[in-house]
Amino acid sequence: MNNLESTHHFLIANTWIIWIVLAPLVGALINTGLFFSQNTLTQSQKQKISAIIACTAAGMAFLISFFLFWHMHSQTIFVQTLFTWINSSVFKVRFALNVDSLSSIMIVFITFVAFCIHVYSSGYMDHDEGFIRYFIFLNLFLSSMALLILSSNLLLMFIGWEGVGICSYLLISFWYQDPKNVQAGEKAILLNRIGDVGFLLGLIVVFSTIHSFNFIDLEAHRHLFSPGLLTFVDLCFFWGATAKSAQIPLYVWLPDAMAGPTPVSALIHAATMVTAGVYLLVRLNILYFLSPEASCVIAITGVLTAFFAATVATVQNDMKKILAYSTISQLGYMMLAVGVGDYASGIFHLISHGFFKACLFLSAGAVMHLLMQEQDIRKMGGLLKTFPLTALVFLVSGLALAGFPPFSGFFSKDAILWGAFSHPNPLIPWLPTALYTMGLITAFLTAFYISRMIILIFWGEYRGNALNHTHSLPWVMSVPMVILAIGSLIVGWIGIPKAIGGKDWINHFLHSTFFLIPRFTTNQDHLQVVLMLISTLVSASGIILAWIRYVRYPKTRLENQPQGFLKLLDHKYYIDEFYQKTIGRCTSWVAGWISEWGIENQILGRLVDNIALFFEKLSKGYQKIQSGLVRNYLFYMILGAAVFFIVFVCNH
Amino acid sequence: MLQIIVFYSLAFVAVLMSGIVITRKNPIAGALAMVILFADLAALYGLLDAPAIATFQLLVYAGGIMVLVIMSIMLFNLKESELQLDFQIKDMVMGLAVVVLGLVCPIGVALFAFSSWPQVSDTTFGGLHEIGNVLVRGKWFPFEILSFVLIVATIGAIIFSKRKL
Amino acid sequence: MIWGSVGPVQYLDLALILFGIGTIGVLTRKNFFILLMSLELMLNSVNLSLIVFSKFYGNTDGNILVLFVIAISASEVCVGLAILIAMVRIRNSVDVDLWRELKH
Repeated sequence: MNNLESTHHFLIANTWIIWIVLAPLVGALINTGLFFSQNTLTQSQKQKISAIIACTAAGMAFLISFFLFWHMHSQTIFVQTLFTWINSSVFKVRFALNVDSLSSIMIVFITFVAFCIHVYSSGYMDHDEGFIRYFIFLNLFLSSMALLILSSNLLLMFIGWEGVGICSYLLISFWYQDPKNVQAGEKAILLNRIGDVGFLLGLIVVFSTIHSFNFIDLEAHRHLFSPGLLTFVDLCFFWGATAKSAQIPLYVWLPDAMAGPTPVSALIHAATMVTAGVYLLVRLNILYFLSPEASCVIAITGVLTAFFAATVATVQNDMKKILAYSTISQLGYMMLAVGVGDYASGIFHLISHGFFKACLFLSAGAVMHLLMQEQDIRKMGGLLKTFPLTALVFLVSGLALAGFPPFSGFFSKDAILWGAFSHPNPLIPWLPTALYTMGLITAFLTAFYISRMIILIFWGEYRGNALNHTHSLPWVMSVPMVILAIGSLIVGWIGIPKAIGGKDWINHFLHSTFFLIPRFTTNQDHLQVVLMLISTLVSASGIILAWIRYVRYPKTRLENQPQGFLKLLDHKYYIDEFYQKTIGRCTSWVAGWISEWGIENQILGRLVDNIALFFEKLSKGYQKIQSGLVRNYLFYMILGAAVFFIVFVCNH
Repeated sequence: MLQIIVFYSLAFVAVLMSGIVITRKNPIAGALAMVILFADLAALYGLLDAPAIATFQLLVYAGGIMVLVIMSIMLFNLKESELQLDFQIKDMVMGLAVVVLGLVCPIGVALFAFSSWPQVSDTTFGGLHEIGNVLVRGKWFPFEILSFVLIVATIGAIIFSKRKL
Repeated sequence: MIWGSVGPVQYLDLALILFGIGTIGVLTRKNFFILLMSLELMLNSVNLSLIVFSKFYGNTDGNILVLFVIAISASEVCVGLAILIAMVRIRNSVDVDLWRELKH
């Protein structure tokens, strides 16, 4: 068995991998030079150059990724070891990059979406003062994200993990003139620090157990973990993932992160960075597979997050807030997939979600761009005739989110729901049914809120007053939108299940990464088809309900203040207020206590004072010894010699 | 037996004279006691089969150094006020205690390892002939260095005692 | 029995006692002459022990070393008296406690 495992992969050296990380980094560096350069170029010329450099860098990263992906066969791992980063007896870390099937598909997806969004941004951010700064951060983000995906060990991954975190902070607070944006960035980075504690704890336990950070060693030495320790490590990494991937209880930063520019929300806070937590858990799949307890926790957390975020999204009026809660909800689905052990479906949904959510954000950004940054969907309506292309793109990606066949969201979401339903749970027998039911309700809510949003934006009559100033959409914005819309239509087809005659290609492709996990098979194909029909019906009923509710009675629904339970939803379950009142108050109270009269004055202050006093007295006493008489100094010398002699004689 | 009597009487005189050196208020008295002490030590060296060193002891110490010291004392012609007993009994007791407890007792204990002489048949040991042989043949380099040190000390003494430094 | 024979230990004890007396003299006296003579006393006690060890180990080097010590102590006294002359010229006293410059 061991022999089989060690020979399972073919390691092939490849020198191109690092350029996926380096290309955006070089782009960022060149743009930094441009940012500080003092030359005769005008601002618009500089902007053009920086946009071309940034887009070229992202495009190159995509081309290399695609090249690697194209040459990826099952059981192949492309490896590149650059140098030994840390070399200290036992603690040895190599700066090495690996591309296996999982990371190859991830990096292709990420660089592609990033390239589209880079191009889109060059139109969206036009006329912004921080144009070049924006592209520096965006390229830096792509570089960190590539490092996160491609690293061959956990420590290197942690660098990427922190790198994307800091880029996220920089881009959320991009318009730093407004203190609110800065606060949102601080909130994001603070909550991510809380998660990093978990990640670091996991790192430490892993290293102290197997003395290595490598993923391959982790798979080979998995038997060194005792079951309890394994659950602990799993929960530590999951703790880290809850912050990065915005799960309960650390999700509150993501809605506020929408303070950044919309393409940033699309790239970082919908498609790529927030999925890093899911990627981490999938990367460590064998650890989670071996610990049903941790998996249970993840599945329950995931489905609860999905459900709660979806309920909040049904009543929000801010376009980007709806999409933010939708992202949280979809990330909950991915966590659910990881929790039930259906890792391939998790990655499948990650990719299809990346496409349609990025597309939704870009379309929303287009609407905002055309309506002078208006975000409130109550002040829109009837935009179908004004922006037909945007409406079409919005509709396609919205249907994908709603899980309507044959759009991508249908297949990926259904794969997760089927996984949740069919994987038996060894600890709680009724859990699969409960997870499936919750997932189905969430799917209904998803269809409802996205339909509500589309209807309120594009249907009916215009309720705002910004339409007079509209201008047309530049091609750099429309083309990426269309490409991503096509993606959100067809990406789902890579995972059409066998039950309805598909090939389920992604499951096959990723199997070489999950080779340690026994392949899950059922012969309940007819049941799967029935479930697919049910979810189609659920999705359709969500759309129809939204139609009845908002097309029939639009005015009364919008102008009434929400009451009762809806008011609770409108205030997002008062979670922010709750955190503020409990953790925030407690922390500031403790901090105040410490600084006012607690430890600061009574203990630390006195300690410091007394130490100073002690040395003052000591030196006063010491002064008396310094008589200046050589005679006395000689006396001390002889005292010392006497001590030496006495000790010497006593020892012999 | 004779050797024992001679040793103990010489030892007694040595301790007595050294006691006089450190307790007399007049340095002249101390210096004279010192001369006796040096002669006493020379006799002890003789007992220890080192007649050559005993000779040098008498010549250089008793004859040279002490004459120099006594001449200096007389040169300065110390006033009566400076010849007061310049130490306190308390200091002396404290020094005695430290020296006895810290130096004399521990080292004295350690010295019991050397309780008897080994049997040596070499009769020429310590003679002037042998000393000269070793000094000029084997240790000629330190010997030359020593002469250099003496020259330096002489020049240094001259410079120090010049009227204008 | 200690008194019954004269071994190295009796000579060494004598050297030790002389050294101790010299030390006390150096520690307690203020008169420069007596200080100098106490130093000579200590040097002589060391010489005595060197002679004893030289005989004990049958090695002439101890005697040679004593010769060197005598020469060095001669030069030491020479320089010491020169310093004393300078001191008396500056302070008009042979009291070493007047020299407290190390304190400043």
